[in-house]
Amino acid sequence: MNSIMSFLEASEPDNWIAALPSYQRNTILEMRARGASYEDIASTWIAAGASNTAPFSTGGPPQPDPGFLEKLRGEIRAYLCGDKKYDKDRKQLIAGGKEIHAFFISGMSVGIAPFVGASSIVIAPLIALMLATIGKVSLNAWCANS
Amino acid sequence: MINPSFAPPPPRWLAADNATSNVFAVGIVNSAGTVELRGTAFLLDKPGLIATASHVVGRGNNTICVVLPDIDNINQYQTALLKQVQYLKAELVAFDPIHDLAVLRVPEFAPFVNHGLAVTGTDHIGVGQDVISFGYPHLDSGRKVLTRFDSKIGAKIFLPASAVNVKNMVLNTLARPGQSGAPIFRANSNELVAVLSGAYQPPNTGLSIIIGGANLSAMSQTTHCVSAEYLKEMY
Repeated sequence: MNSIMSFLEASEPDNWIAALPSYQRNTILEMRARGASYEDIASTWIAAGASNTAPFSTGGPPQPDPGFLEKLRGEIRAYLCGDKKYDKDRKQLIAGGKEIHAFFISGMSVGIAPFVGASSIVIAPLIALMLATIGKVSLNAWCANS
Repeated sequence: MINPSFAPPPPRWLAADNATSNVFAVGIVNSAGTVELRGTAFLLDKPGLIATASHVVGRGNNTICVVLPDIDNINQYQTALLKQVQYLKAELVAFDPIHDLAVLRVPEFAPFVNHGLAVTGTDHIGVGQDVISFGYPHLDSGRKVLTRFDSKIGAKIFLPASAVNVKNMVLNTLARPGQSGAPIFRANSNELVAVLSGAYQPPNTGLSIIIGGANLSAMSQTTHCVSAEYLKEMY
């Protein structure tokens, strides 16, 4: 927990975005350049779709799920703030010993994905965006305020 | 809903022609264990990888599957309404909802590579030029027929997707549910220029009028396809 805390506190918000694959990072940077906040981008990302286009998969357009982001935010909080259900995942993350942002995002995504009903590949950029919104605050303070 | 059976690809699959060996129906295995066919996917030029539209796989929380072709050659007669399909499981590798693209890995496809594929984009193809697509229209009614479409590029447009301008082209053809994710090739070549994503739907129409399962507001010869250049970065 201490090592997660110190890593988060030492991380710049942009470090999380820089750790994403280029096809995601470049789009996020383009949105940032247009003035969008990390929070705005996360909301946009999850509801994305081309304007005025009826998708032609048989499942129809993705159904809006306004609660999804809040659910994900809650799981990130649970993960970072010591919820027991993520004990094993946190231990694995620390045991990995790789304090690199991509490893951190990937580990969190794999741990959280089953609890939000989405693939870890789908939620990884959202987790990066949310970690960027936390910024360099003290994790203890952030957990206490959540 | 189609009852699945799981089986490795039959040996004849190796000898199939380009369209039948490179273009697949893709779907999900639902909680009841049946296959819901969703869209079209195609083999990429790296081992075991296929691409489709991101909205076809949703949030990837269901088992994604690729349905194997049941013909060797597109000139063969196909059984339109299937009660059973052979499928392989696929895993999500890359997901880009802004450009509506996804890359999947099918472990059993590892020996297969779409060697001739050249992924380019819409920059170097012009309005009026001929393009060819292969896909599975009408999957929503359980009809799985690999179908070739020939059309012309009607326009090149920026389609705003969540505040980012995305390069698209408009095809002068009527697409149907099941064709999302279909590859669009420059005619008589293996040059992938775009991936089919949907049809123009007028804004602010309020309720869509659905008759016989068809969304009338999307029944137009204005088919949107996203430039394949965005796919290049994903694998």
